[in-house]
Amino acid sequence: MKKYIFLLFYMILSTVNAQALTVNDVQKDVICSCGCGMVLESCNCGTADRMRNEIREMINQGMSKEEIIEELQAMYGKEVLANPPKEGIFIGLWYYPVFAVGIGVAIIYVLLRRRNAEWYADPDEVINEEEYDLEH
Amino acid sequence: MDIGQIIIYLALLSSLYSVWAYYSGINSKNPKLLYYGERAIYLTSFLVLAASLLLWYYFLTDNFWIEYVASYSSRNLSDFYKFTAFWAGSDGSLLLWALFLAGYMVAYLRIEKKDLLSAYTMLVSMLVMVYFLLLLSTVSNPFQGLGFLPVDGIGLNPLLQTPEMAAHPTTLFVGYAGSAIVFALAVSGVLIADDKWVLRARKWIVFTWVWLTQGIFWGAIWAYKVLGWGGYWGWDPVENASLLPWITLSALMHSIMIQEARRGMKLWNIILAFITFEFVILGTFITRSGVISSVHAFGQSNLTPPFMIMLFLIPLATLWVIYERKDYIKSQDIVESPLSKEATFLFNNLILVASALTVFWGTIFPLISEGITGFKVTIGPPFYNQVITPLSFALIVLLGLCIAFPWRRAHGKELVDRLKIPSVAFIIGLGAGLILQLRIEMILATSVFLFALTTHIRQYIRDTSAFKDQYGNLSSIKIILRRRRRYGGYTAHLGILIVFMGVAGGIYTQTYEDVIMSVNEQRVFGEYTLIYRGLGFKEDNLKITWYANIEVWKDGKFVTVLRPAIEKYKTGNEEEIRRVDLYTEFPKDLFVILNGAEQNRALFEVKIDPTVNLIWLGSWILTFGGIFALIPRKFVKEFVFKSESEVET
Repeated sequence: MKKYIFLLFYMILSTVNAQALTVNDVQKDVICSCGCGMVLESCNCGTADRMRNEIREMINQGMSKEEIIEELQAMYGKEVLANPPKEGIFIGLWYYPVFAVGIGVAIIYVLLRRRNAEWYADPDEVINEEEYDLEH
Repeated sequence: MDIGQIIIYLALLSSLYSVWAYYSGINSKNPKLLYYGERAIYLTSFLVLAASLLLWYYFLTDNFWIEYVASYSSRNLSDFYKFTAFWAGSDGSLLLWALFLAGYMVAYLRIEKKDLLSAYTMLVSMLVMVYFLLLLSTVSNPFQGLGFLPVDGIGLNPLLQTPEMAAHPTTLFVGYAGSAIVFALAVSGVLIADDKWVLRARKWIVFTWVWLTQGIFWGAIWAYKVLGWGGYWGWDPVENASLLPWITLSALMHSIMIQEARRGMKLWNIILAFITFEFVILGTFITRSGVISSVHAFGQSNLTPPFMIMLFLIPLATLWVIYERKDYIKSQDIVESPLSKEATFLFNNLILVASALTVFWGTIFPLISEGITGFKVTIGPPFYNQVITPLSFALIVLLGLCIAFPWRRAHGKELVDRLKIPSVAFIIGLGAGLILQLRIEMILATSVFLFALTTHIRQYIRDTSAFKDQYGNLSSIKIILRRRRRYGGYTAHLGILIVFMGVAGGIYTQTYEDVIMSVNEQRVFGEYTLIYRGLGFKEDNLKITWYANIEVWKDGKFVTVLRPAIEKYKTGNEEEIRRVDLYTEFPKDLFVILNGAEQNRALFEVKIDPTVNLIWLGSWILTFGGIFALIPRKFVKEFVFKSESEVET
């Protein structure tokens, strides 16, 4: 059994590694520099075509996604980023969800340790009781 | 002054009187004053309806003396779109809000008991009504005269001239107005320190949720078919504004069950009702003021001050109520065991609320960044996809788990038994995904989908047979109707699962291409062959249309002709929009946009989304689940409860 589980995970990992970088992977994270404000993926103007060609060339040169986005930022400024950078004030944006979930988990941990709850009614049935009450 | 404006003033006076009558009636325990307050609600509702009908009449008769009509209508507009132009701008939208709220209050008075909880609920709801009538009387007057009669109106934005836009704002606003009743019930219930508000609020919560679901659904369909960028959800601030209250209301729908069963979560439930209503007011503000486009728009919109006051007053009032009733809402234990449905509901609330706060944070973050750094950062789909994806996967797993866990306490062996088949389904999903060489995300999505789906199917069968024993051999249909809340919930879950697969399939397996085709040229896209047969042209009194004729062939057989088009409107700013055309083979869509054309060739965007129709199907199932859970007892009592008592005797 263990052997099969290991094999399954190995196959999953191989799937992850086998995926080569495509223009589509990068253009989802970049804003078209024509000024339309759209993600490059959704824009069909001439500027968008030119940017896609630039990305294609960088992929052919063997650059990683992060390197390509860094290069595009150097060329067009930080307005080109569809994702804000993970630095300065923008750190708050990225880590806020983790922070919110962390606080929530801590509260749930405390609630789950207190186990003297009383049982009043089955929520499936109370609707019938409430409505019976209304009818009479 | 237009008569419509006079009607609005009268409605405002009537609503103020109702507030006074309810307030005084509650304080002095005077039933006569409460009766007058109730009559004033009927009068206010009638006046708001009269004002709305008058505005519709002005649209249908091209009364361009009225600025609002001249701004959003024109003589060549069809009657149907003259009717829908009512809510094309902020003034009409706020009147529509007030109209739906009036409808809710009349319905509440007709349905619910006339007790102290109802008196407080009507008082709070009426305060919301006063707020909207004040806006309509001052900064957002739909009956403002122009002072002259223009030859024609500016016209309705072409993007709004679609049936989807007739449905989207109306359904969404019915949901928005419902959230005011839910909030009013929550505040009133806590004020009188009585748990029965959760029992009474249940139907209003589900009803509101059903309409919010429909509002989001129609918005997504509109974006998909009309906006012409090939997607249905772009994490735009306005889209987010419709999603936020839906998420928090979904959390409330689950957490009030814990209050029903355990009398706990009182503080949390009033907070959720408050957040939902706050999001609704924020959503109305964002949609109608354009404020989120820039921090500077805060000063430009005359709706900003009153909405900011309202957004400040709602939490203030909620905090005051919580403080006043701190003894009633003091913390109580809510679980007997961490292996229980109650515990899974806690995690469900965590994921939903974390998702809502994340979407909210992403929506307002451009304003914060512009205010602090002067640089308005773009929060695009990648941020939301990155953050919401893990939360949505966790939610789907939890959807399966919460069904498998019983109320109160689960026993280890029983739990293993319940999760055995779903776990096998999960592994089958992984294996099948690997064999089909899907993307890793799609493999995981399929696996968690199968896990949750099988827990639901298994539990559906198991519950029905267990209840059969409990109710002495009632038929399955009677059991389902008796436990309609549970089975409505299961059905809604099924809808969510189908929507999840539809979204995942689109994100991870969609294919698309931009292509230039010459006349009579053939191109192969997936299993389809497309042949471009040239450009057509037509003109009517509203617009000029250029459309491409594209034959679609599959397996050597002719299937259909698609006619994606570019339309240029003659009114307003002579806007030019793309009309998408689709060929649907459930669950997939072949989606073609015409992006430009010359004499002998044209530029198209062609997409194949293999699962998009699952989203629409799932949304309808989701809606049906909510409606099923709402079936009143009186509709089924003859069929279910009478025969049940016969069985028992």
